[in-house]
This record gives sequence, structure tokens and C-alpha cells, in this order.
Amino acid sequence: MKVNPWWKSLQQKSNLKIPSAGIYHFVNQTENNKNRVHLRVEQDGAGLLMINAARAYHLNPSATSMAFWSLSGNKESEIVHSLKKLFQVDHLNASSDTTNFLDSFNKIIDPAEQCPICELDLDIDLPFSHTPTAPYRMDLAITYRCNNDCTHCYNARNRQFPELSTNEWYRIIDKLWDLGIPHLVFTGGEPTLRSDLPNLITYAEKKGQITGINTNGRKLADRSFLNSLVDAGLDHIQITLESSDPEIHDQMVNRTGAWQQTISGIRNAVSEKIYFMTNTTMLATNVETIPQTLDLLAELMVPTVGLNALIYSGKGKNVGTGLEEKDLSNLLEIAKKKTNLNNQKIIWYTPTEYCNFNPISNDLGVKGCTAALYNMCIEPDGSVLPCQSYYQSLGNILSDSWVSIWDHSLSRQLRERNNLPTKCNNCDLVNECGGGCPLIHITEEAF
Amino acid sequence: MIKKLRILCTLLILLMLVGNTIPVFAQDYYFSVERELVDVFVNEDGSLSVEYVMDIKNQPGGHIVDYVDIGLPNNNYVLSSITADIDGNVITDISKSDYVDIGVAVGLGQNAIQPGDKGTLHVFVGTINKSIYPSDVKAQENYASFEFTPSFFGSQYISGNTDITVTLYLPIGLTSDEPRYHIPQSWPGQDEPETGFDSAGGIYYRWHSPDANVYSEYKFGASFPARVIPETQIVTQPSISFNTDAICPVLMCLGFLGFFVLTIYSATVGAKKRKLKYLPPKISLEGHGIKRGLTAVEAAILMEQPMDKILTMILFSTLKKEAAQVVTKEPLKIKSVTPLPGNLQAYEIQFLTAMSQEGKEKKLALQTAMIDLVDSVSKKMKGFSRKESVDYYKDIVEKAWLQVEASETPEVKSQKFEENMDWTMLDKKYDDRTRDTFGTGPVTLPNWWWRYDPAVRPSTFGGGGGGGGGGVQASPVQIGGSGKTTISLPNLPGADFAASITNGVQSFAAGVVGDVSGFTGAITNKTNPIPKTTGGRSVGGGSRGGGSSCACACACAGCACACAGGGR
Repeated sequence: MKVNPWWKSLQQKSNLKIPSAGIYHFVNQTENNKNRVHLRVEQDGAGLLMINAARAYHLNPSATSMAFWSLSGNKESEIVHSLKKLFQVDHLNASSDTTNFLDSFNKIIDPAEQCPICELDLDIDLPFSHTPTAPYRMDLAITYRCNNDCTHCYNARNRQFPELSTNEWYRIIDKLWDLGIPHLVFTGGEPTLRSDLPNLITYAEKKGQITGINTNGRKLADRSFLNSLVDAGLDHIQITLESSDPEIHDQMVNRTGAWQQTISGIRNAVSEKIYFMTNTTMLATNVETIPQTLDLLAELMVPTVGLNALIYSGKGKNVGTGLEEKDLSNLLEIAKKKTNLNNQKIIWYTPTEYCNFNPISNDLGVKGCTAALYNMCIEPDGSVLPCQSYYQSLGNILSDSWVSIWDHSLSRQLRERNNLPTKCNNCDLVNECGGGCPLIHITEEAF
Repeated sequence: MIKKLRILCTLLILLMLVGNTIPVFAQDYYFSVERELVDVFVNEDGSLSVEYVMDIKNQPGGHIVDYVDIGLPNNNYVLSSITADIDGNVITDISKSDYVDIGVAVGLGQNAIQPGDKGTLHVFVGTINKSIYPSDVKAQENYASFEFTPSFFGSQYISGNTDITVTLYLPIGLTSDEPRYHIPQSWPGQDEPETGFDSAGGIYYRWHSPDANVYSEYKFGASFPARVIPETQIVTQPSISFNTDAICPVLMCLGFLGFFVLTIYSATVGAKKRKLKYLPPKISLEGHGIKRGLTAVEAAILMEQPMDKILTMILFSTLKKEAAQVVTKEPLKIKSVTPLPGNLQAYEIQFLTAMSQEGKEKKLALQTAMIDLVDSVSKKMKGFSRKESVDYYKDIVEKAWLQVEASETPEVKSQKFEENMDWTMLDKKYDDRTRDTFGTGPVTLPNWWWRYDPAVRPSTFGGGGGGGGGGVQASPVQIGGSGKTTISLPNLPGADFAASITNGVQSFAAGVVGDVSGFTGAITNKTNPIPKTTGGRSVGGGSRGGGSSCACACACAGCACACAGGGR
């Protein structure tokens, strides 16, 4: 029998190192639950912890190292030892801090915990106060082709816009991973029209990224196609349903028979063990059917319902069916009541001017523009946009440096909210609101 | 020694290369050096002095420039001879570097150069001994020489070119035709330096290029007769031969390498070597700060006060609002007025409704009222910091006490006590502090107290007798001109008043709630249920949003997306 000498354990303890800058992916699996944890370590040692690419926590350098060591399976004693070795801290403080930290941290990463924040006395920073080195999520508009033709679509590009090859998208996914971006959403256009979508999903998942698609759901009516996406590792699906009324839906998407396929796609997606939600754009065209649409979504057992207002881009700029922000309260009140009653979650997307519609006082949480901050978009040709609706290229992800894209004057302007209307100057809610969607304030010539 | 120097060079360069292999993030060091002046002095005692002046501009988004490490050619430098300043502010944090094998670390401290800012760094190394080497210049006397490489950095950290001026100041006592310069290596400027005599009478060689950069490795050097410096300063170890093509043809030096590297280390490299400053681990997320505007009862929920105490607070608030009065204290029975005043909170209405019932029904209704209250507070707290809010309300409690304690007369003190009672009751040491504040002095009972204590109630108000008033007698009823009934209430010693509150809470527990733990458990089982496990995958874009009673910030900006996929 081989016996390890006592000093071996000391040697092992001393081998822990401060994690290098980069992104680390961990899968937290228990018998019945699973979650995915990403730890992005910045050059200054601080960290971004993301749980299921949905909840973001900010860690200072000591917390980042402790999180990394804990996620890597090291024991508390090993963490204490490493803290003392690598940081200017004595044993007493290292020990008590580690115990306290792990107590909170283990709750945060517990796959069975739906939301541990209530129990934890975490520090709360101002909304949008953290400027990361890269967004948390990148939307990949892999094609602008679409089998719908929505009258309110925000797409401002030609449907035949040049598209990158599969290998070029692989390179992009590589680059995004190297930048520390844990979450990719394939969108468009209609992403399911690219035959290599399952390959792209597989490629990203193998790297450790969380993947999702935003789709009109029509192709998901084909069960085998949906299975191919799920088998590739897809993590979440969002399907757009505009109305419970087939006629209104088909009219809005400008395709007869689309509703039927979308509903089939929803039914198929609901039956999968995958995070699923719908999205509905509330417009004058469908506003009367919103209650019925919510009823239908409950009947279809959709667990999470997304709602948003018109995006003033592409056809959306001139469609003329957008609702006034001040008219949103009543609609969302109905939506909240219905989703509460049906035990569904509701997500409100649209950044509004809080003086018109305050999502906080409406119990919808803080909503503000996060373009070029927490999310960005890459177009079919590799151009990087501040968000999927803001059609001004910041550079090409394949040919331009990330620094030049991230620090592009437009990126900074949006991130730093430099061009707010003057009425926002003395507003107490400007941090949360940020002036609503910047697209509303943009003049024609900006594009 | 020469070998050691070569190894040092190699190590330093390797360190640079290690830095180059790290993926570059936006918060890497990313800066430009707009101007760099490098002066190397060969002193009369044969030691060297080196002076750097660098105009550093940290690029927006770059890592903060907080430390500068200066590599030195050997350990014969005098640490106390090194001075530095940043923008004229003296730097005191100069110590042996943990990063370079031989060198010093200059900590910029609070004058660290922030992203987007500029700073002029000035470092003077006064004394470096034994840095001169024999030269193989063929001449009638022995020559000595030195070479050095000024600052260079990993190119990935550098933006733009640098206007660089390098000046070698040779020892005093040389004639103009005696010293030799070495042709600089990799230098974008002219090979031939500007030369002349400095103010002290020594010869200098000066190279200047506006198109240089600080990521290339330039090498400069000179040779001069050894007689002008003490022999003891000349290192007589085996030397390194230079590529003679690179040196002034007339010299054929037997060179050496005096290698200076000034570098700002990346955190990646540094983190591996420096024992980092420690701050306790901190986890934060984005959301609101303080939730203002909660009532005292709501704040009590937030501060996790005992349920029986919260119920007593609600009872008091309904009495103060003239919505009810106590019929009997033991068992506690109350009677609501009809119609109820319009200024009641929802939880007060629910409370009164619950209290109108009997037995188990009453208890269940109270539990429901408390569950709804907790949910309501949770919703109000959504996206706000519980910790900061609790601190805020603790501060309100403290200020409430201070107002009472600062009152100079018993009457004012009692008045303030009544005004602030909602908040002071949140103090866990309410009883003790009441006793301490009033001692044996009197507390004038709040003017609504008669609604609570039948023993001090004037006969015109009816209601049951009995109760625990301790035999206190009320003053005669006065009928005001407005028709509103007022009453002059007696005084109680502070200790007795505090005891009456405590008794009130206890009697609520005993008479209405029963087992407080069981009562509370029934509430928390609803408001904080043990999570149910599911077999499904739960990854993806958002366990967030409304529809739950969670008080957390999970619908906030910290959840990463405000418009993920919307608008299609």
C-alpha cells in the first residue's frame, strides 16, 4: 500500500493559484437539478459570476479566487491556506471570511435554489453601474432571411444580406469565448433557416457557452428538427406569438398559416425539458387580444411569458402601430394578474422612459437599455451592433480588434448614456431609466 | 556575472512573452507613453545613475496603472538612493520588486493613473555600483563600456508611438575624441547621436526619435577610457561579445550588457507573484439601494421582528387611527368602528377583520394577513437592497430615540415619545431604553392609550371593564369645541410604561397567537417555502421577472438583460 507522506497534503494545498484572466465554466449537478456557472475573471482579479447566464454577481478579487477554488472542488481548509499564501491576510480573518463567503456562495450556486438573494445580505450596486470588459450575452444574427415578413419588424437590413460560412461562425464563437462571453442567442432574421444551426449550437456548447434561439417557431413544428436542436445542447427557446387570434397573428407576420405552425412549435417546445418562453409585441394591432393571448399561453402551459413594446427600428419606425408608453400600465397590470393566476413568470423587455412608464413601480423590475453593455449583436456578415435593433456597425468581429469595437464612440455613448434628453438631467431615476430606448431619440440620418 | 546578466535578460524577456500569450481583455493594461526621457549617468565614482521621465496616458478601458517595476542590472543598487514622483507628488512606496528578479517596485498609490488619465512618472535611481565592464577597444589604454536597453512593454498593452530621447552622460575628464558610442540596435532614429559637453563638462551622446515606441527593444551603449572611473567599479568577470557589425567599426568593444528594463507588469503576471492586498470577499449585484417609505410595521417585517410584536404594532396603529378600541385585554378582544377610517393600510384592515373572528378562524385569518403583509413587503423590496434598507430603518429608529432623549422637559419628552413610538418599538431593546430614558420619571401616556387600556378609559366610552391597567385612573373627560372627545391621561413611571408594552406583546401572544413559533412557522412556510426540486433543465435566459413574491433583485439589471430577444 502506498502511503502519502504528511507533507504531500501541504504541497497540494499550496498549489492553488489565483485564476488567470479568462472565463471558466462549471456544471453544478445534483440528483434532480442542474445549473451552469460561469466565472469570468478580469485582469484586475475581480470576477463576474453568472448562474445559468441569467443572474449576474460581481465579486471582488478575493471573492473571485475563493469562488474559483470552491467551484474547482477545493475544500474550505485549502481555500483558507491559499488565501493566506496569496493574499496579505492572517489565518483568523482568512478562516472566518472563507466560512462566511462559502455560506453565501453555496446558496448562490445551489441548483435547487430558485433565487437565494432574499436570504443573503448581499451588497446592492446601482443598476448598470458595472462596466464589464465584454457583454454578458451576444446575439448572433446568423441570417436576415425570414419565413415571416412582420409588418413591425425591427430588421433594417436587406433579407439577402451576406452571410458568413459555418467555419467563420466557429471562429466568432471561439473569439467570443476568449472574450469571456458565456451566453449566445442565435437570432436573425429567422435562425432556423440556417441548416448549420445545430452545428453552431454544438460547437458553442462544447466550449461551455449557454445557447438559445429566438424564433418564430414555425420550423419547430417539425419535431425532428426541434430534436436536432435539443440534441445539439440548446438551452433555451423563445418563440414569438403575436396573438391568440390566427388571423391577427398571420396579418402581423404577413404570412397565411404561420399561426398554426407557430402554435405547433410552441406545443413541441413546451413538451421538451428545456427553458422555454414566448414573446409578444404589444401593438395597436393585437392589443385587444392580449388577454386572450395570455389565456392561450396558459392553456399551452407556457411557463414564462415575455412582453414588449414596438422597437422603433426597421419597419417598426414607420408602422404606426406602437402604443404610447403611458398606456402600458393597464395592459401589464392585466398581464401580471393573469400570469400570477396561472403561475407563470412574466418578463417585460422594453426599456421605457420611466416618466411615462415606470417598470419598478409596476413590479416589473429595473429595465433599461443594456446595448453595448450587457448585450450586443453580431450581424450575418460579422459586423457588431450595439444591440440587435441598432443598425450601426461598430466594426467587424473577425477583422477588427475587440478594443476598437468595445470602445467605439457609439458603444461608449450608449454605455455611458451620454446623449440623454435634457429632461432627464435632474431625474432621480436616471440611473435606472437611462432615458428609455435610445432608438426613440435617434434621427433618420443616424442610420 | 555576465552569464547571470544574460540569464536575467532572458528571464525578463520570457516574462514578457508569457504576458503576450495571455488573451487580451479590454481591462488589460492599455496605455500609451507619449514621451520618454532616459538619462544614464556614469558618475565619477564609477557608479551609474539612471533617470526616467515618462508621460503615460492610460487609455480608456485600460487597467489602472498602479505599480511600475524597474529592473536593474545587479543587486548593487542602493535602494535609499531611489526617488520617484508622479506628477510632482513624491512616491514613498519604493521597495524591492516581487516581480523582477532584480529591481524595485514603485507604487503609485492614490496617484495611480486611472483609465483615460495621464501621469508623468519620474524615477531616479541614484546609485548602481559595479555596472561597468572592460571593453576590448584597441587603444593605448584600457577602455570600459556599458550598454543598456530602456523601457519596453508587451506590444498588446501599448497604444501609439513614443517620442523617445536617450542620453548617455559619460564621466567628466574625457576629451571629445576619446569616448565611443555604440551604434544603437533596432533604433528607428539616426544611428549617429547628438553629442557635446554637458554643463558639468562631461561628454554626452543623445539619440532622439519621435517615431520610436516603447514595445521595441532598443540598445544603446558607449565606451570610454577606464582611467576616469575607479578600477574597483569595473567588473572583471567574463564578458559578452557583441555582434561587431552592430558596433561602431572603429571600436570593436568587448562589450557587456547593462540591462535596464522598466516595465509595467500585467495583472496576469503580477498576480502570480505578488502577495496581493486583501479585502474581505464581497459579492454584490445590481439593483436599487434603500427602499424608503415603508411604514414602521412594514419595516418591522423587513427587520424580521417577532410576529407577536408586529401584530401589537398593527394593533396600536389601528388604535391611533381611531379605527378600533380594545374591549378586553385578557383575552384580547377589540371592536372596530364603522365605517373604518379611510387612511388604513391594507394590512390594518385585514388585521381588524381577522380580529373580529373567533378561535381558530381568528388565528388563521391573522396568519393570512401576515402572509399577505410579508408578500407585500417583498414586492415593495423587489430590486432594493435589504441590507441597506435595514440599516436605513435602524438609523430611523436611532434618530427617533435621540429626539426623545434630547427633550429637556418631561412633557416634551413624553410628546416626542408618543410621536416616535412606532419606530422606537422596532428597537430590540425598547424596554430597557424606555426605562433608561424615563427612569422613575413620568411618561405621559399617549393620547390614544385609553383605546388600548380599558382601565384608563372614561366611562362614557363604555366597553368592558377589567384588564391590566394597574389601577391607573383617568382624568375627567373633556369635550372639545369641535365635538371631538379628548381625555387627559395620567402619567406612568417609565419602567411601568415599558412593562405595559411588553405585557401587551406577551398577552397578544398568549391570548391570540398562542404558540408564537408555530404561528410564525405557518407564515414562513408560505412566504419562504422550501424549494421544490424539478427534474427539468433550468438553464437559460431567465428565472427572473414578476409573478413571484420574491423580494430579491432578480428582476433587476443584475439579471443581465433588459431587452433580450424582444421585439420580434
